[in-house]
Amino acid sequence: MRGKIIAVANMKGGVGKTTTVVMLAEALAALPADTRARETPRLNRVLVIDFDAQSSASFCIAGDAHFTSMIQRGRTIDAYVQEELLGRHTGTLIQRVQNQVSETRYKGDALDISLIACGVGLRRSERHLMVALNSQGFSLEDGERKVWDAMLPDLDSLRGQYDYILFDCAPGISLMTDIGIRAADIVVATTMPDYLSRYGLEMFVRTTWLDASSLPRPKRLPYVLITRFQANIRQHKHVLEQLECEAAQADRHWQMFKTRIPVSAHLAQTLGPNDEWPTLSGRYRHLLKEVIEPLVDELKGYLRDA
Amino acid sequence: MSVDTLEDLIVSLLDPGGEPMTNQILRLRMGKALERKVTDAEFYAAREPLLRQGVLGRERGQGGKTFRTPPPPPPEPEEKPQRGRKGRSEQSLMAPLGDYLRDSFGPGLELPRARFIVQDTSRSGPPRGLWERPDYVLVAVSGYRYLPGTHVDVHAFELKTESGGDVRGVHEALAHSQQTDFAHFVWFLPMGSKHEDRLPAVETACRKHGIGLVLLRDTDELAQTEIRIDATRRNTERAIVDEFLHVRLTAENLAQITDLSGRLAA
Repeated sequence: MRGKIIAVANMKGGVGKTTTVVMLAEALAALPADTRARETPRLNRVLVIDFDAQSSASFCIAGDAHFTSMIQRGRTIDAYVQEELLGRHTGTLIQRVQNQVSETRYKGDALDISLIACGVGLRRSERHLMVALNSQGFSLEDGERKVWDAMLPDLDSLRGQYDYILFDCAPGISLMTDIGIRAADIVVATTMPDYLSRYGLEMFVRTTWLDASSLPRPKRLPYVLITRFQANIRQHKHVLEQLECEAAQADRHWQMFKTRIPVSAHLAQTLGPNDEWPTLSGRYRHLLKEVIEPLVDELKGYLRDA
Repeated sequence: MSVDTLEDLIVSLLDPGGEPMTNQILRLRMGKALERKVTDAEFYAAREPLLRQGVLGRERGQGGKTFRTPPPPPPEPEEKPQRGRKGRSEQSLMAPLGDYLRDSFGPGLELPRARFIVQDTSRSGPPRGLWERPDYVLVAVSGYRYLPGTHVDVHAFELKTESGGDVRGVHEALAHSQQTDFAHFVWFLPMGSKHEDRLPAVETACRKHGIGLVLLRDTDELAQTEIRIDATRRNTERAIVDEFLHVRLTAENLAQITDLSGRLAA
């Protein structure tokens, strides 16, 4: 097995990154895995790594009590940065994984979703790491490269265990987010179709894809996924047309998903406190067939092309 | 979670107060705690000895449910002649509850031109069956001045002592709701009782099942009685309610219902 890495990212906050990660993780985990001929048929194994110190994805997927226990047991990306990357070698990424964490049911069983959570200490841990590397004589660029070199084997070993690995990237560009984007097979850039978000998208692409960096360039241009779309808002229609027009140019800076995530009160509620152990169809209702399944089909197509 | 065996895990995941959990959810919770899938075979193999030992009980419905058998309540003290605040037997609480139902609960329903019949049913009716007998039944007969017909509502009450009150009492009341319009759980729980910690679980169960919760705080001061949760009306078939009254109430009370219905309808 060599799992595919999907990073959901955008410098701008509030554009539906976490919602998209949770949705994709659950939808992918309900699909049959591409198993070999002699392997027992099974559903996909999905791992979510939360790179956002707001911990929204961790909270949504694990639930309050379990998330707290993961923090206590160092099953977080900040503990990994603070302990492993700073040289104390207390546990690689794979040892930080909490398996079987989802409470969403599908055909009588829990979806096979695993999680490396993120605690509030990530930003501080990242700064400590860079200061420590700097004190060892590494420049900013060399330090970033060193972290990249340290993380890549860990990410590779995770690819051997999971069919899909999803990164919920933090708003802004943090070190972990930067590494996540560059390690990913595909970057899903969620954005709302308004003028400010469109401007933010350009800045995001420029800083990560076009500007020089000590880290490898991302594998391919980002795929823009329109979120909170309202077809009856003129600005949304106008910005969407602009984005699609630019994606059709030869010198484009992004590609576009055809599926759009509509604004939905139900979707917003889905990530809040819910009934215990909801079913996948109960959780997403009509959005499962109308939006999520077409989105996953499209995503799988782009990943096949990669 | 520190558990040595699947058996320990099952016990640790169930509510100590006896609230049942569906087998599917229990198995999924075990999987989450162990970070792996738990098969049906593993689950039932671990549960079976606990059922045999009486540590767990099971219910039918929704693929089956499992619950932890609550520890037996401590033996009730001897009945004292005076109405003390604590350690009251169920029998000694019956008379104050009857007074409360007649004088406060019934009138508090604020039904038009209502009359109430209250009967101790703890020893009446067929003895067979588990949780078949409510401790009290209150029949409210009401009607409007001009609109035709009378309306009869039947309320069942399950009474528990201070030490005996727990979620199982709510389930007893739930059983009574199958034959009546409303079911209530009455718990003698003096203020500051050490058993107050069971109250949240009891309240949750009452809300979940639409059972009314009445807290009898002081039998000498019935005005302190609290209706914590209002009961939800059941859509019980009238034929079932009618049969229930027929086998539970005395001939005098049945005649009184007939008489009141006739008078209010006139």
